[in-house]
This record gives sequence, structure tokens and C-alpha cells, in this order.
Amino acid sequence: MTETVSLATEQQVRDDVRDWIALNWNVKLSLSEWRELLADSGWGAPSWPARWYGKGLPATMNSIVEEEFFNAQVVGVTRKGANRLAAQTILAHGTDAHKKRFLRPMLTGAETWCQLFSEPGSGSDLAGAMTRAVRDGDRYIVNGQKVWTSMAHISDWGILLARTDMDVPKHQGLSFFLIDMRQPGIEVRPLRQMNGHASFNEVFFDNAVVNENDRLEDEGDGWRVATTTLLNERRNFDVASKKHTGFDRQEQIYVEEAEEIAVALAPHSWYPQREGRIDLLLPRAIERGKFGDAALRQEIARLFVLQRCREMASQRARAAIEAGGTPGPEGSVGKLAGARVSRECARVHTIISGADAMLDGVDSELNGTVAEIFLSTPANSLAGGTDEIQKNILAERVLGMPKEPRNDVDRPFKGVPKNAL
Amino acid sequence: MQYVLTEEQNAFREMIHRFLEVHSSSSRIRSASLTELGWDRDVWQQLCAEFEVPATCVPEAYGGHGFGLTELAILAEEMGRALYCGPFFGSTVLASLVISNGATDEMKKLLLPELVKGNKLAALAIAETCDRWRAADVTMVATDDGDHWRLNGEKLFVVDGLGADFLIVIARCAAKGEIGIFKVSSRDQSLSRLEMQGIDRTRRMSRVRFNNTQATKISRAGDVGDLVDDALDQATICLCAEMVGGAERLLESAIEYSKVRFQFGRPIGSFQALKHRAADLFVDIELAKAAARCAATAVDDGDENISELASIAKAAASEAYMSAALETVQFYGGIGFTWENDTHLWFRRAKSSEVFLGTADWHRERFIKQIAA
Repeated sequence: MTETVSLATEQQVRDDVRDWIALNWNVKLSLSEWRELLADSGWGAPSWPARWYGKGLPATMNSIVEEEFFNAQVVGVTRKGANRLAAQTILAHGTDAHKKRFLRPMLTGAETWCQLFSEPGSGSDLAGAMTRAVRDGDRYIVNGQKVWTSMAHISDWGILLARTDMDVPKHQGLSFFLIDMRQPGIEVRPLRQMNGHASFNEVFFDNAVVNENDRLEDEGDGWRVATTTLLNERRNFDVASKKHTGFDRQEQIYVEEAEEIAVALAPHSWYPQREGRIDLLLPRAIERGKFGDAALRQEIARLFVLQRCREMASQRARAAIEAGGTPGPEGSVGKLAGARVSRECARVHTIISGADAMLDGVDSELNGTVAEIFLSTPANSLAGGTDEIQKNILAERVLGMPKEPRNDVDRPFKGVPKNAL
Repeated sequence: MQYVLTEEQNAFREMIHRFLEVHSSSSRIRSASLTELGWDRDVWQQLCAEFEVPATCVPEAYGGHGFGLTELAILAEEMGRALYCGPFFGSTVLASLVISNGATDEMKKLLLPELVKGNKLAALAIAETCDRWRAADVTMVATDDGDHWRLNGEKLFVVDGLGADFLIVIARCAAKGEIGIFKVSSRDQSLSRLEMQGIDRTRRMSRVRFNNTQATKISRAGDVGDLVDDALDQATICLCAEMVGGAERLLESAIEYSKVRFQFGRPIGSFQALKHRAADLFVDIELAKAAARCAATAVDDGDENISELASIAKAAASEAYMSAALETVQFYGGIGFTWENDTHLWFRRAKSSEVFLGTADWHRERFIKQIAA
């Protein structure tokens, strides 16, 4: 019974989108003109409230609408920066004034957002953030440093987690701000990684200013707000739709969209290598005449077994979510398995290379691709929650093992031991 | 493909789980495995009477329930979890699957209904040397003396061979050498069946010698090696389900212990050193479980790449189960090395399953050659 209802609704949504597209899609509009229209229609963010540029549909309908847009070759809302994450956070915790001011340009791409959470001193322990926001009348003065900030160099706004009180326990002394990135007190510098690319930034705050009005929820409520952001980050990752790389068409609106995507993807050209390029293993082994080596065949087979199991496990997890479950800590299984795959790929790729694994660039096979795999795969065990954090999540929340005793939660943050360097 | 179990399948699993919790408890296993037969007839009869276990995946035309391999694998998973010792794997999985896949319709009508009711048991005799579990490896020859087929030679690792009423034997027909399936009554005087002493006392295996033993051919004319291999892949998938069940049981037991064992003023489960190993193991087991479940469903969907999926599942389950066994001993510490502690019962089964129906290396080799082809 439930199934027939949801099928009917899905078909109805498809029909509605198609009708709207048929009436409104105009390839002659500029990208911004089109997106203004799209924002007003609600089809750019179907799961948002009808009042705020959405249709009030269940989140499961997003991919249906996306699919209709894609099939009709219709340009959607922007996907750049942390716009979506910031919007989800503002929808949950912002005032009407925030929503009115920020949501629309987040969809149209008129403004770009970044996420200012991680710090050099607090990565896994995000709630240990040390960037200070000190009240000064109806504003706050911000000092400190954030790191691993994607898109900060082109961002107009950032969602910022900063400490407003050192005298209360760590989770209670944080506040959540929307900060204008275009101000003299903020300096953005590219951060070069071990693989030579610079895909992220360091952001330095030197007496930067944020208005009291641009705080989400009360002072001290920052951790609760950040939890919403992190939960959505996890969820967006779990239900990640296919990477949209634009439509290969000549009309102006498509060219504009392709440029926007190219800017967003440019710093991440090494991401396929970060995953380990399992697709290259077998062809490389065969081409280099090493497939006859039984030990190597075992290594490759072991890796393929792992990868296939991982795919099946993630399909099972997705099916469980569709069958009515919610994405839970089980997502950590996929994350850990993915990190294993990439780490093992790097090892087996360099086994196939033999002494050539010493080479890079023009002197190497595939113009440095193997070197880039080798130098990029460690990121998978770090980014988006380290392997260690994932294992703690599984052990404590799935397997129910007792928590480690802590000495940082029941005392004022200023009394908690901090980094010694 | 159906990726999650339906409500009915889960209810079925729950039912068999509750039964085995009581009737295949570790003390029951220990006492049953000390008997000559190695298993408890009453428990098996109950499994047949109450749950009609042997009927599960036999088609309705032959008196079965006509469920799929998915349901058979659910049973296997619970049997493995409880370390059930009885003729389930030997008769209901191995022998019945070979008959279902490879026998003629007439022979299926004759043999399967008896197995379904549980009043007869069969065992599969295929392996002749260690590490050879597929039809192509069979060398035993069946000769036709005009009236009957005659078998000579020896088969090894015949699961539950001692308790079986008849044996299903894979052999080559003399003259052309094509693979055929034969049935031999275990009452035949020319047959000698000897127990092979095993590390796992909950899965009995025997060595069977054939001395001009009279046999009935139950497969059609021509080579049925492919059908035998299909059955073995299906049985491998059930074995993987069994292994996943066993591995899950071990992990649960290790974790329960880590919550109540206190050292240095804390439950040992609060130490990250143990948490991380438990989490790694959980990932191993989840991956193996996904592979085993998907492989079983793929069989029911009629997919073509079953041997590939069976090999993936066996490679994954072999490593997951053995690491679960090793880690569980380590979690328990000294007590985990004692006879009294139950861990060694599963520890034994983990190794014996790891090398049964093809080692992980063998399956990886088969898999990689298939995908490189």
C-alpha cells in the first residue's frame, strides 16, 4: 500500500517537473537569469520549504528532480563551495532574516560559501577549536586560524565555528557565525599538500569582524549548530548523486555552467588518483608482462575482492536506507573500506612498477600518474574523519564498546591540556 | 537484486536462531561432538519436523518448499553462528544441491522427496586429493559392466559420510571420460567408510573406499561437470554464509567479554587498542556478509557470474572468519586459550572452513583469471 502511494507521488513529481521545464526552460537565458527563475520556482531545492525557494517535498525526491533536469539537459542550481551545507544549516538554525538574506544567492551561485571548522590544532577533535570570537558591542572580533578550507580563495561568506567562552566546558563555549570573507581582517593562503597540489586553503583571522546578527542560535550553542552541518555533510556524502560535470553543449548558458564547474573542480584533479585508480591495475599488470606472476595475481585479486565487497556493502547500506532506515554510523564501514582500497592500490601499483616506482613526471609511466596515486592515497584515511575516528564510531556506537575516559569535557576549557607545540 | 532481507526472511531467521540458541548451545555441541556419530539425532529430527529444514530450497515438484538459495543461506548463517553439528551441510546443502542441479528429473523424483522428509541422509563424495574440489579435478573412473556401473578408488573429506544412507559420487565414465553423478548405497558391503580425524569435531568427514562398488548413474548422458560445479558454487556460497554467522558470533562474544572484564580500573573494551581491532574486524565481517548475501541473491536472480561471486565471497569469508577467531582468543586473553572457554570450538571451524571447498588463494586465482579473460 505504502509503495503504491510513493510511486504515485514520484510519478506526480516527475510530471510536475516536466511540465514546469516545458513551460520555462529557455536556453537563451544567461546563467544568472535562469537561476533566478529557478530559485523562485522551488524546483532548484525541492526538499526546502515552499516559503524558502523549495517545494516542501521529502528529501528522497531530490534525486528524482535532479534526474529529470539531467535528462532534459536543463541547468540546475549551483553546486559550488559549501553553499549547500551552509544553506542546510541556515534552514535549520537561521532566523527569517538570515534566510531572506542568504538562501537565494546560495542557490543562484551569486555568492560562494566556505566551511571554517578545522584548525591546525583541532582536526579530529573539532570541538577543541581555538579561534576566538570576542564580543565588542554589537559585533565580535575574530582572531585565529582555520585550515583545509576548500574554495576560501573565491568565497564571499563562510560558516565559522569559533570560541566565545574559555571558562565553560569545551562544547559549551562555541558559537556559530556567518562571516563576510571579503574584509581586511581575513587572509587566505593556499596550502600545498604532499602530492604537490594546493587544493585547500589556510584562513587567517586578524581582528576580523562579524556582526552579532550573523550568529546562528545563541552564544554557546555553536556545537549544536555545527552538529547539523556535520550530519548533513555525512548524509550528502552517503547519498551523493553522480558527479555532474556539465553538458557538452555550445549555447552560452551551458558554457557558463561548465566554467563554474571547472573552477570548482580544478583544485581536485588528483581526486581520482586519491581513490587508488583500481581501474588501471589489471591493464598495467598485463601490459608490463607481470600478470604471469602468481604472487602479483594474488595481490590484485585480493584488492578486487575488497573493492567488490565494498560495492556490495554500500548497495546494501543504500537499500537499507531506502527501506526506511536512516543513514547511521554504518557509513563508517564504507569510509574505512574505501581507505583500505586506496591504500592497497598504491601498494600494488608500485609493486607493478618495480624500480620504476622511483620515477615521476615525463620520465615515468603514464606521466606521473602512479607517483600521484602513491602520494595522494594517504588522504583517504584522513579527510572526512580519520580512520581512527571512524573506528571509534563503529566500536562505540555500533558495537557498544565503552567510551574512553576523557579529561576534557567536565572542566572549563581553559584548564584542558592543549597542544604542546 | 534484492539487497536487504524481507520481513518474512527475517522472521524465518529469527525463528531458527531461537531454536538453535537452545538446542545447539555450546554444552549441547560439546556433548554431541563426543558421540560416535558426532551429532544429536533428536535435534536433527526436530529441525526436520518443526522447520522442515531439508525442504527449504528443493523445488515443489520434488516435495520441497521451493524457496531459493537466499533462504538456504539464511539457515546456513544461523547454523554457522550456533556451530550446529548435524547433517545439514553434508546432506541438505552439498548432496541435495548436486542432485537438484545435476540429476535427471526421474532421479530427482526418486531421491529428493526422501531427503526432504529428513528420513534419509545423503553425503557428497567428490574430492580425491587435498585442494581439489571441482569436477575437472576428479579422476575416479566408473566402469559399466553391462548391468551396473562399478566404482573403484577413494574419496576424501566426505562430509557426514558415516551417517549417510547413500552417497552421491562424482566420477568419470570409462571410455569417454565424461563427468557423471552416481549414487551408492552406504549399506553396500564393498564400501569402507573411515572417519578422518579432524580439528573441527563439529563437522565430521570421512574417507570412503570403493572396491568394485555397484553404483547407479543419476545424471543424464554426457558430461555434467558444469552442473556439478554450479552446485559446488552454490554450496560454497552457503558455506560463506555459515562462516559469516560464525564470525559474527565470535565478534559478539569478544565484545561482550570486553565490557565485563576490568583491568587497570576500566573495562578492557574502553581501550582504543581493542576498539580499533574490533572495528577492523567488524568491517571485515560486514564486507564478507555483503558478498555472501549478494551471491545467494544472484543465484536466485539467475545471474551468470555466480562462480565469480562465490569466489569473492569465499576469499572474503575465509579471512574474516579466521581473523575473528584469532582476535577473539586474544580478546579473552589467557582464558581464551583454555579448553573450557568455547572460543576454540569456533576457532577450529574457522580454519576448517577456510580451506574447505577451495582455499582463499584458490578462489582469488580463479576469480582474477575470470575477470582478466
